Amino acid sequence: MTDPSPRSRALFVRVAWRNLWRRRLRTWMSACGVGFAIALVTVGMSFQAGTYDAWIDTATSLMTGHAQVQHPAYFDDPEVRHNLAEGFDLASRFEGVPGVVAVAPRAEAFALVDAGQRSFGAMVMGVDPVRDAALSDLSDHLAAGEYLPHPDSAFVGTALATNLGVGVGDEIVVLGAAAEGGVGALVSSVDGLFETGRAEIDRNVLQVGLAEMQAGFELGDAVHRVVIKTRDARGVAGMRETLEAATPTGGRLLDWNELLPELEQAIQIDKATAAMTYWLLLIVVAMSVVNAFIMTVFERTREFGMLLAIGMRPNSIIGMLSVEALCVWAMGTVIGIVLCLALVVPMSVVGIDIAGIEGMEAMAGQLMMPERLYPALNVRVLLESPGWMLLGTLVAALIPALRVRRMQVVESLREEE
Amino acid sequence: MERVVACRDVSRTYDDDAVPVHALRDVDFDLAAGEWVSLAGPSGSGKSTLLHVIGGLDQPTSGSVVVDGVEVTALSAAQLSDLRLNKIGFVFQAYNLIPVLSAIENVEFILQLQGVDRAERRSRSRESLHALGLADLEHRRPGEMSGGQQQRVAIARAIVTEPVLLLADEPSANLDTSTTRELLEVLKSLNRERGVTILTATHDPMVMGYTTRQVNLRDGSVV
Repeated sequence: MTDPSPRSRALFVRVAWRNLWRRRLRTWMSACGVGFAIALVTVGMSFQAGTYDAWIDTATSLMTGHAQVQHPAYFDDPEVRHNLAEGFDLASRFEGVPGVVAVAPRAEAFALVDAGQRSFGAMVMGVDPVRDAALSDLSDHLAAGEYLPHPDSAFVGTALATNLGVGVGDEIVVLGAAAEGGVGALVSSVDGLFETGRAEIDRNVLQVGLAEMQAGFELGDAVHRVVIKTRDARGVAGMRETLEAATPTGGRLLDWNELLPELEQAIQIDKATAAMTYWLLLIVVAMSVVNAFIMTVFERTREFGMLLAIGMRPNSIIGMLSVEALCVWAMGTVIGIVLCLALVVPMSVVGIDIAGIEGMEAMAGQLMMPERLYPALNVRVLLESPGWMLLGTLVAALIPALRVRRMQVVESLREEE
Repeated sequence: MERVVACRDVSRTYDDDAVPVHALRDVDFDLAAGEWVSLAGPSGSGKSTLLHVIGGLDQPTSGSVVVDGVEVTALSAAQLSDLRLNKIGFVFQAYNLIPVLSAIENVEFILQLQGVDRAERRSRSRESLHALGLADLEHRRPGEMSGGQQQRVAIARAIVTEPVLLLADEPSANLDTSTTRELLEVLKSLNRERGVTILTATHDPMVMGYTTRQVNLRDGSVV
């Protein structure tokens, strides 16, 4: 004879569903526990996803871009001589690549910036103002003057300008090692100041015109980086093959993960920390489900004894209890997802004003956070915690349900309801 | 006449705090097809234990129990489940219906365990309830029925699979006299008109009066 259980599923579902309502309060408590856990985890994950997107956008939009092409040795040994010839031609190779929205060549060197009485070391970047503004928002952080209006203009960080004792209209001299081994030099007029809120940039960076930089540092038409911006930073990995194909021999393609390894590390550490919290929460809720099902199994011992007596197999009874757990999970998931959507959807539209929170403005700058944070919902965020909670709920129900396998029918029939 | 049950030298000993309790001692018992036998005796005489052993709910410590030609003591747990499902109908003292199912769903449940299709399930369940005078109550849940009505639903559930043997453990224990009489008339009709073989454990003289044969037990032995 065959196990009747596969043919009995419809009735199991009906019995399981009605059984849930024998103890309405307990069922609602369990479902709400599952629901709140799913909502908390899902909301938390959507905030994390939004935060990571913000971190990546902020970190890449200021200077780094989503990918770069460099001389193979430049990333590890950023010397002026490690450059790529024909910078503009190189940049134009990527302009037609699908998914690329902006490309800008840059030349750069560590140099001594002199303003008469004072001198400070800084990173000098030669940029094409039009192309660079299309992929970098440094020009949006204008604090005074204009963004590189003339070929011999300099755009200087406010902290560096303060250290040098210069302001808009003053002249500076930049001295450094040229590509051919001589002394590179250029004279520029400070026509604009920027303030990003990130001290290491405001104190150490100035931008000049690319042509002036190439001429002053004997670079010819060479550059050090071709910076690429794509439609979506997260999509760069998928574009890798296409970008590699456009990269010339003698060039090295690096995406933002490789250019900013500390960013990826920070994301992974944050994910691990949050995951521990989520796991604890899910375990606590699963324990409450275990408790509810222990009560259920004890209360219905005589009923289970009767089912065993009339020929139902223990596994079929355990299956019926699993269906009850599945129903609790389904109710909890609906509660959790509805709560999550009610919280996250409006916030993903209007955002959360981080800068408006007392004490957060400075921290936001340090943590590469934007002024407004937008939680992000995606399929993974919506499925992950219900998925784990499903497993937790079924295991939680299974632990007490396994007692059915050890039940003695005669003893069970003698139990008081 | 064909034997439905044959027990030989059946003993059942329990350990109660390491003290052996002999619930059955070398019991020999036969039940022929179409009989209605009552196992009678005071509390603790072993009548329920014998019923449980014959029904495959409990295993004897020694001896042989054959039901419808099958040696029950040799069966695995799964085979015992199938035996109970397909060959034996149970009626319990406390009715033991599934409280969340209506009368007809309770009867259908056992047919669904057997894998009977929906249409046949419904028609056989309805027929079984009608035979027990429950046509108007098929959609009521156990909590909405009297004790006598619940016990009749339990009988409908027990006979709907057309078992070779109906086991009833103190079926009248929770019923008043007039309801007990109604119930016994139902069992009598099943026994006489449908030829259902019935074994009843009872200490109720009224039940014993209805049965075709009475087997007395005392201290675990047939007397």
